[in-house]
Amino acid sequence: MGNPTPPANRRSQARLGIKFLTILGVATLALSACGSGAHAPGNAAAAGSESSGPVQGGTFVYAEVTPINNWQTQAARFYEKSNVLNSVLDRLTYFDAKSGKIVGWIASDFKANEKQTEFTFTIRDGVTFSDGTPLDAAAVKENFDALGLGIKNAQVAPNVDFSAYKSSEVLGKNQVKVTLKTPDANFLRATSSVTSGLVSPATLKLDNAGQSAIANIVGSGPFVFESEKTDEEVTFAKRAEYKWAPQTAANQGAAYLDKLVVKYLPEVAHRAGAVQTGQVDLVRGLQPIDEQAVAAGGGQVLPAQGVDLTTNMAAVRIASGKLADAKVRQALQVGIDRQSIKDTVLSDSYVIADSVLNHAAPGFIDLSADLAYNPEKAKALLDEAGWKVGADGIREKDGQKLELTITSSNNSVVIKPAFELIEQQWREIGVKLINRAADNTFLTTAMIDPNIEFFGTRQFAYGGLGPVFGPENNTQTLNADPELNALFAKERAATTDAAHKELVAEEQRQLVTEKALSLVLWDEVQVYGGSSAAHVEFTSGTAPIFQGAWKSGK
Amino acid sequence: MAAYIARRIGQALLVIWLAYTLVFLAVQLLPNDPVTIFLSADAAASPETIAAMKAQYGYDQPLLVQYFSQLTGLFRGDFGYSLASGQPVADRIGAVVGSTLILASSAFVTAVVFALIVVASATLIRITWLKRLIINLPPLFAAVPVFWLGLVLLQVLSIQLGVMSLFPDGSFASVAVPVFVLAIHVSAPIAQVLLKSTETVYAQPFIDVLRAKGASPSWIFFRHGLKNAAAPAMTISGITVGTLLAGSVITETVFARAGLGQVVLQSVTAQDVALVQGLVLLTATAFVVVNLVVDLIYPLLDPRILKSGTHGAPRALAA
Amino acid sequence: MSIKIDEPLLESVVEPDSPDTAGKTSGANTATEPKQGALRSPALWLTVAPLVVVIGWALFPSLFSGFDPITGVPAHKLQEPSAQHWFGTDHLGRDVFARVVHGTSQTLLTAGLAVLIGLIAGTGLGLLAATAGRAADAVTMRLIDVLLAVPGFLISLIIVTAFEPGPVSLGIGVGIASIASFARVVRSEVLRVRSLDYVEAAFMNGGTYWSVVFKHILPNSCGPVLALLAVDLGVAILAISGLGFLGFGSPPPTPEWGLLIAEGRQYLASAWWLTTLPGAVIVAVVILLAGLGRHLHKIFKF
Repeated sequence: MGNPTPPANRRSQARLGIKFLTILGVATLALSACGSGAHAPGNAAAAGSESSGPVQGGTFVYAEVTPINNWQTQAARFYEKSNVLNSVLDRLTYFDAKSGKIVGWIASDFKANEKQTEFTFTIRDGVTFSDGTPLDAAAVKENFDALGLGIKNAQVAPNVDFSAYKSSEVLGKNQVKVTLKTPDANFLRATSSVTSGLVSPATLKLDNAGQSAIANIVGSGPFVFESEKTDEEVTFAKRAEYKWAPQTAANQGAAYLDKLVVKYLPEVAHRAGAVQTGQVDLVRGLQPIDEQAVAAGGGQVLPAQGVDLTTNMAAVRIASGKLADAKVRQALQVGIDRQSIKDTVLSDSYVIADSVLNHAAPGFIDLSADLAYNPEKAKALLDEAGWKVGADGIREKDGQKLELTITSSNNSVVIKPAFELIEQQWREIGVKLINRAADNTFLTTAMIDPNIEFFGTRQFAYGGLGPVFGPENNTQTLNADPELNALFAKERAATTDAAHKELVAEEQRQLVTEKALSLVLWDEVQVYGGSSAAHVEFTSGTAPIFQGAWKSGK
Repeated sequence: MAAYIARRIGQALLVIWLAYTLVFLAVQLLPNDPVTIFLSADAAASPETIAAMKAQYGYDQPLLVQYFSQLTGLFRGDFGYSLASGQPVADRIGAVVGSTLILASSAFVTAVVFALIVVASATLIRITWLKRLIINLPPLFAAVPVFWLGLVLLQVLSIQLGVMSLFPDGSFASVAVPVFVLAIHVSAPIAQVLLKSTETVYAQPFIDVLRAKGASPSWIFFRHGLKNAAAPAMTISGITVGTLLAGSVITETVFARAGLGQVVLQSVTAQDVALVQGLVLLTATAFVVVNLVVDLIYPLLDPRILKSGTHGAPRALAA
Repeated sequence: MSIKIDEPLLESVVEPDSPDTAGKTSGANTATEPKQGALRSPALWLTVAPLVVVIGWALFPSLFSGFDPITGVPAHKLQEPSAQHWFGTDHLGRDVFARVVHGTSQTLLTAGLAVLIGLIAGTGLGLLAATAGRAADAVTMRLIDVLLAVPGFLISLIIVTAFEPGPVSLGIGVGIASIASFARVVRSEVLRVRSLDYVEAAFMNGGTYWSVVFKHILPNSCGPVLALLAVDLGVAILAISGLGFLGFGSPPPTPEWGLLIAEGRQYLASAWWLTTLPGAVIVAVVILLAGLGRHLHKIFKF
């Protein structure tokens, strides 16, 4: 992307290449010797030796990034929560990333009216929650009401993907009909998300404290809570009678594993070592620099593509006024050298973003031509917008300096270094970035402060881009743009696939190019490290599917 | 004696109350409130929702009302509700306090043993270079960042040598290594004070007299030197309570252990006022109890203290 | 590391409890001899010389390193220490030694501010306790107890959260925690000096309270305080690095020392030099400051 490579750079790349080849060679030898398949970075997430089938039994140890105290299921938009709840809660539908289609799960069948305002779900027979209550049409209605209207007594806010929800009614023995206030073509997709996981009516009746405890969360999923050591680990046992997996799942019955133990490994440096030494079977948040070491040490590098999510981005808030002019935002968009970010702080497991949707998302369009690194164009745009370079090299206008602040959570291992590099790149075009990425304390306040110019994030987009950027209180832009919202409404009301696709394309052009409210970086991917014995696949939301996971026998 | 004890207990309660009040004021500096942060996990909550929940938990009351209702709640055994963790403060802290207590108290005992070994060998060893080396150990202990030492030990012991788990699995090593790391740091000030006061004792004529009488060096050290040097070291031990807490926070984070460390970080990050207050109450109480005990043992070691009222300088000199 | 060593390395903190010290202190007039001896000690200069270099780093960083501390060459990332890059390079290709050198001034400023706060507030409290009568003493001692009872660490976290992390908020947060130790040292020193014959004499000769305090008491009590100052500087540097470890440090690209080891730890397994070499610098400086504290104490011992 127009990034001239100095000679020194080439030399060191060559050296690195040789080193990498050597490591790969050694790794290949080692692996062929012990006969278990490992994956070089960039491979698909499935793993394991193809010759033998799944092994029954065993305890699988999974290390998450940080402990969770509040397990309330609707607010599960954090990986550390959804990755675990994914194996405890079933959903009505399942998004099959391979075919890009929504398939049945607890709903054996579903249909929508043409206007996308009424959805009818047929509930599968014989499904029960782990407390014995049947998961029937009545239980589904209760869940819909909680999702769409919130639970007042327990201070549970409505789920953002269900903002169009009006009511639902039980039809006959096993059907539920949902009525929406406004059309929503993305409603079905929203019913596939972990945050819309179905819980027992008993759980919904608990107060806030009750619903926050993992011990009280009763689902119909393949794993059931067994025990907990606060802040250290949670153990789940398989549900032997489970037989209602998503229609496309390879394993239609109970989990192969007997037990699942979730532990926490906040220190990034130890994650590679944890799988290499076999202390865990799977760890989330492997940092790029450790990928080679894990592969070379006989472990697996497992990148889980976040098809359900937007790309990683700096979402733009315009309230401080500095970024009110679209030209400034466009300048920043082309002032980012994405190739350099990938080469420096990412790895082959990461794909540079070409839109706000990832390459595998339904409706993705390639905007790479508008995203090419072009510092000269960036400077020209900033000049046009009236921001002149000041004495200290930082641009200013009307006595105000172009100093911008970014906030983000610390749970992505690459986001902080990426913004450190962007900070360097923007310094060249006269923009100062105050990098508060990965400062979780700052985040709690900054996420809802419209004067903080950027929120470094990626969001589940089950309900399309509308819920991510539309509502006035969306944490990305913290602003309701009337033009965008008209577009979102049109898209949700689209009645044909072709029309929907065209409108989704227009949304991306608006967000990335025209309004430049999303400075896109790379497709969402969660890189897991797996031990050589682990066999695990991932959902399109990057959650490990423990129901289908197994461990090679020893 | 009874009057002395009563006065000290009164002072202890006063200190707890002041600490509680001070932190109540300090948390008002925080830019947000627990309700807003709790409700804004997915999207910025509407002002009405925030207001309703604030009313429910009493965060909409004037500060003075909040303060007194919290304070009176304490007497009913109600320590407030931690929104961030979705449970009462007492439950949140109660679930993990034992883990920190074990870590901190084992580390403290180990630290005292370290300090005694350092001081005994520094006093008794005659080889000059070895003695110098030993004397310089406490400053070294004090200069190594705890988190760094912990991370390096985990890297070497767990990942390279495979002799301990990265997780608290209850094995001896998974308890002993964090205790060691914390003890190293806590031992530094204790050892330094003990070294200094031993030196002071050794500079006094009665030690020479003992030597002249032919007492063995180790007999002098254990029978006289240590006994006379112990009182100052006890004072500093009482003060290490705060040090132990800070050290525990970091040690627990490094070793992924449950404990107050996790709670401290959670309370500040989520600006969970009730949880912060609960923590302060706990640590201030621990501090005054330990110091009360030290103060009560003190006169047994040195009866002169009792006469001068509170421990500290001779009262007669204060104008 | 963020542990506060209250009253580090100093015997004077606890000595006033034992009347023996009173006997020792009567030798005040003979102080000149050990003073000169201490000044001539090569050990003192071995301690001071490296610290002078560190001050040089803080004042004229460009003289010590030609590399840019905040803009790296991405292609040169994560290189091992070499003749060119003494401390290697970091994940963005920045020279780590340059970052250590250029980070000195901010490190010393932040830690210095912390110590200054401790010094000023602590001296005030200590002086008040020791000279303003029994009631003032009792009140001040309880205040000091309160400062010790509230974990200084928690206060640091609250202050850094309330105001954005930077030299000022970190300095204040860490500084508040050191008030108590200064107050205790000053109090006991002042009480010791206060009891000396010539101070009594100064009062009897009609000196006012303030004139005696400033002419006699403060100057003669400053030895241990100076010593504590040096030691506390090291403690503050460690405390700031501990906050950085917990995610409460200055935002990048600031090359503050504590942050360097805190952030470099992520690469502990793959690039050991990132955290180890700046860590070694901190350990060395903290030990040197502690040594300086001991020497100062000897020099000013009366």
